[in-house]
Order: sequence, then structure tokens, then C-alpha cells
Amino acid sequence: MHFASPRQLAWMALAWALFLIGYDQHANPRPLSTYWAEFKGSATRPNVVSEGDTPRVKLSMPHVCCTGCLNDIRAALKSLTWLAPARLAVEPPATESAEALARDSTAHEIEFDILDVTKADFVTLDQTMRDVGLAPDRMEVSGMGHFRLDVELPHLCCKVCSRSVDEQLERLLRKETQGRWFDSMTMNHVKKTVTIYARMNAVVDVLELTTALAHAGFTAHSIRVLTGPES
Amino acid sequence: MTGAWPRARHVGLLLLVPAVALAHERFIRHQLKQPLHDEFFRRYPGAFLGMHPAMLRMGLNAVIVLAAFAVVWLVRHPIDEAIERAVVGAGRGVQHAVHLLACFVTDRPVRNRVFYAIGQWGVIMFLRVPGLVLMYSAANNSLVMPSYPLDPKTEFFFKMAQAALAVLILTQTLLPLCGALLVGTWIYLNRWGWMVAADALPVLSVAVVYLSSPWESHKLTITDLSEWQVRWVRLTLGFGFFALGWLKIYNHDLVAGVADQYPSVLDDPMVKLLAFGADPSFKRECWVVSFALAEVLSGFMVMTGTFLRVWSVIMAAMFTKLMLVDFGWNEIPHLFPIGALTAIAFSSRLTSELRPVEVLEGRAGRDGKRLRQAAIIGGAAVGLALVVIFPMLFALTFTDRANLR
Repeated sequence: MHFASPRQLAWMALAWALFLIGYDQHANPRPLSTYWAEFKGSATRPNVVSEGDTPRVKLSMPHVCCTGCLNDIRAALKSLTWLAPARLAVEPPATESAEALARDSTAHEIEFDILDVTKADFVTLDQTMRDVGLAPDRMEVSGMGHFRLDVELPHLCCKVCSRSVDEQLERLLRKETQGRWFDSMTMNHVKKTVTIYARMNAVVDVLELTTALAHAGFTAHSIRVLTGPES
Repeated sequence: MTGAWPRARHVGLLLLVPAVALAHERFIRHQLKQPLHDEFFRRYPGAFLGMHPAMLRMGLNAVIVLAAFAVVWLVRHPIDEAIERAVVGAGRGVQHAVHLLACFVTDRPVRNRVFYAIGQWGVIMFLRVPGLVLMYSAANNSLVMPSYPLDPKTEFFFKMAQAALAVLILTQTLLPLCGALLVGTWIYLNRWGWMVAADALPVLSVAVVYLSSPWESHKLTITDLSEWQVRWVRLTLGFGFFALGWLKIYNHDLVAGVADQYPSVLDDPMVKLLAFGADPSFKRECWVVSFALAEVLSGFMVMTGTFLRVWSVIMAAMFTKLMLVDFGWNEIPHLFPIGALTAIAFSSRLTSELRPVEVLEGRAGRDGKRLRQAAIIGGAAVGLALVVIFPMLFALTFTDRANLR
């Protein structure tokens, strides 16, 4: 029977810890002083959002083949003053050259900073996109640490409606999100709202929420972001 | 229903309900709805020791409870003998049952087939369940437990690394390497902050067993822990809870946030017992301190091996209840401490750190020096309880929590 010596064990543990730190540093480069600040200031919750991160929303668009598509999106979203201008990792080709280039994939990810969280409404955003004739397949909200979504459900006319949301939505959300971001929910029958609590630092796909709502038989009038303490 | 059952049920509740928020605040909702009275936790001019009178009272209550447990532990043998003598005429079956129960409660080896079977199963579960917890965390985009959410840029690597480690653990392959990887990962967890890393201290208890296993672990059926392993498992596990208890007072807003989100936890009988006599106008503040002290007490008992089986069973039952009744699926990582507590509760190789005191008082007893024996027992129990509770409680009033905002 062979056992590891204390020295071997210490080296293995230390080497693994250094490897993890090194990999983390490689993926998220930051000054060493930041590590000390993270270690010291653990505060009440971990922070996996990099320094300088801001609230943002990322739209995964299955179809943005050319600047024509992109310009339509940009023009439509201009009216949403709470969104900063769109950012793309790779700009699509110009309309004239799109056909010649004939890429296999027309998918693009468009990212926006949220300038004013209090005004953000993801139902309006989704609707605006659909008015253009294009639809995202993911609408990911992130960069806010701890936050919740306030969903306004105009059709809650009776107790049966409320019970239906109460009993089905949580189950559907758990199924839809597969535990990725959904933490819990509470319902306010008087205000006709459902508050969806996201996990800490989660990337929340709002379309998963609207899909779960649709499966429960409801549509939201608005989906807003709430941060800070609950009143 | 007879009168005895409700009483028993209340005692059970008293033991099971406490610590509803034990060590899991970060993966359930914990937003503070109203600010606490910060001055309650800080220096309180004009009061004895500069501590808020309610805090002082709760500290005193904790000292009394801890000292009482220590005294009973040190005189357990005469009590056990008296009880076993009392049932001599009750028939062999009763005698045997009382003897087994006494052995269980006083941490002596229990000669019973069912006990051995549960113990063997407990060790197997303890050694393998971290694999499941790692898989669960990987599936939830977190590292080790949901307190450590992964960055999207690194999550693929960490998820795959956890899956690989889980496979090694579940197949019991290269356990010393698994132990070293767990320790290394815990060091890395400090990147989320030292206080957050403290949440994962109990994970190190299984690493102790892995580290002390042979390289050929995959060829062995490990169903028993050595005395050395059991000792280190209880030391690391107990210290983890002990430290987490103190951190609850230091980081009071986090714990109070859980109470704000789940107000029913404020009506906790065990915690109320520790808050007995404290100013009721500081209900939430008193809850935080008494709840933290309950965890400090249980952690200390486990760490020192004082009624280890009793505390292990209580804590394992409590974690099971949290998982099945209170918080549901989110609590699934607590399978890990349940495994650890089951393994030590059903081990017949238990030792106690209070052994030197027992030797001293035993010698005094054999020499017929009863007063000296009583002084050793009383002095050790009260002295230990005072040293465990007050210096840290006092020191915490000096700490600046500005960085917690």
C-alpha cells in the first residue's frame, strides 16, 4: 500500500491552486492588487462580474446577415433611450457584398449597455425587435450582481388566474431555465405582478422567462429590472 | 395523543429547528429589508465590557449551556452506571437496549450489527457524495457550491475540471490526488473573499480522508475510518461550523437578510433559548447573535468530541430537514455535511479532546478527593465555556464592518 507523503500532498495542492489562479488570470486579466481587494472585501456576496462591468443586455440574433439588418435594428432601438448604442464583436458585411460573401452563418450577438436600469423594459425591447421583423433567440441580461425582475401580468382577473400562475410558473421556470439563473419567485395578487429573483451575478435570459409565461398561458405587459433593497 | 409525545416533539423541534439558515445564506435569498441597529454589535459605552447588555446576556446564556454540556460529559460515566444499574431488574432486552443507547450517547463503541451496517454505509456515502455535489455545482455554473458562481469566460474549464474530479471521487480513484485538488480548490476559492471561502471549510473534512488514503484506493473497499481520520474529520468539520458561527455575528447583515426573506426563522425555539432574557426590542439583532452562538456551540462540541454522536445526529437531521422541508433543491449541496456527520456519528473510533481533563478528574476521584474532582470538573467546564465564548464575542465589538456594505 502506498501513501502520499505530506510534502507530495502539499505540492499537489499548492500547484493546483496556482494553476487555477493562473488560468483565472489568463481568462480575466487584472492587477494583483485586485486579488487582494477581492480576498479582503468578501462583503456579503461574491463578485464574478469584472471590475468596471455595467448592466447590459445581449441579444443573440440568428439572422443579421448584412448592414441592412443591423441598420434596421439600430434605427428601431433608437427610441429606447435606456439603451446605449449597439456593439458587435464582428460587424456584418455590407448589403451589397453580403450575397457575394455568402457566409454559412448569419448569427450575430449584439450587446448594449443599459444606461438607465430603472427605465429598462424587456417586453418593449422584444416588441421593438419584432416590429423590425427580426427576433432574438436569447436576450441575456447581466452585470448587476443581485437583481430581480418585476413582471407585470395584466390578466389576473380572478383567483383561478392567480393560482394558475402560483402553481405553474415556478415549475415551468425551473424547467425552462434548468437551474441556470432562476432562484425563486413571489407573487403580488393585488399589484398583479410577479417578482422573479435571479441568482447572484447570473446571466438571465429574459426569453426563457417569457417562454415559461407563455407555457403557463400568460403574456407580460412589462418586465422591469429591480435592484437594491425591497421596500 | 399522550402528554409525553407532544413534549418529546417539542424537544425534537427544539433541537431540529435551530440554524435554519446554517451556512447556506449565500445560495438562498438574503437581501436585507430593513437596516439593523449596527450599534448593537459594536462598542456600547457605559455597559459592562463595552458590550450591549443583550449581547452580554446571550453570551452568558451560551456559556451556561456549554458549561452544562461539558459537566454532563465529564460525569457521564457515573450517570451511565446509575442508569444501567436502575434497569438491572427490567429484563435482559431492556438492559441491552439501554446499554446500547448509553454507549451511543456517550460516544463509546456500539456493538450492534445495524449500527455497523449504517456506519459502513455512512463512510461510503461520505467518500462518494462530494462527487455528486461537484456535478451539481458544475451543472449550476458554480464551483464546489452555488456560493461560488463561475465567470462565463472560465466556466467551461471549471465545469469540466469538476466533472473529472467527480468521476475520480465516484470511482474512488487516486484519492490522495482528489484530496490535494480539493484543498487547492479551496485555496483558490479565497478569490471570492476570505469570508465566502469560509463557507466551504467543511469540504476540507473529506479532503482529510482522501489525503490519508492509499494511492491504490480504487482497489479497496473503504468502509471504515481510522481513529486518526475520524479525529481530523471532526476537527475540520467542527472548526468549520465554529468559524461560520462567529462570521455570522461579524457579517450580521447577511444572516439578518435571510431572516428578512424567511421571517418564520425568527421563531426558532433553540435560538430563543439562547436569547432568553435579552432585550426583545432588538429582536432581529438578538436572533443573529443567538443563532450564531448556537452554531458556535454545536461546532465546538463536534470539534472537541463532546457528545459527538448526539450533535452529529442532530445536525445531520437538521440539514436533512432544511433540504427536504425548508429550502428544497437549493440545499442539495448539504448532502455533503450530512455524509460527514453520518460517518462520524456511526463510527466506533471516537475520541475526545477533553480526555486530559477526564484523566485529571478521574485520578482525583480514585484518590477519594471528591472536592478536588468537583473543582476540576466545574472549573474546566466553566473556564472552557468562558474562554470559548467571551473573548471572541468581546473582540468582535471592536471590528469595523465598513467593508461589508
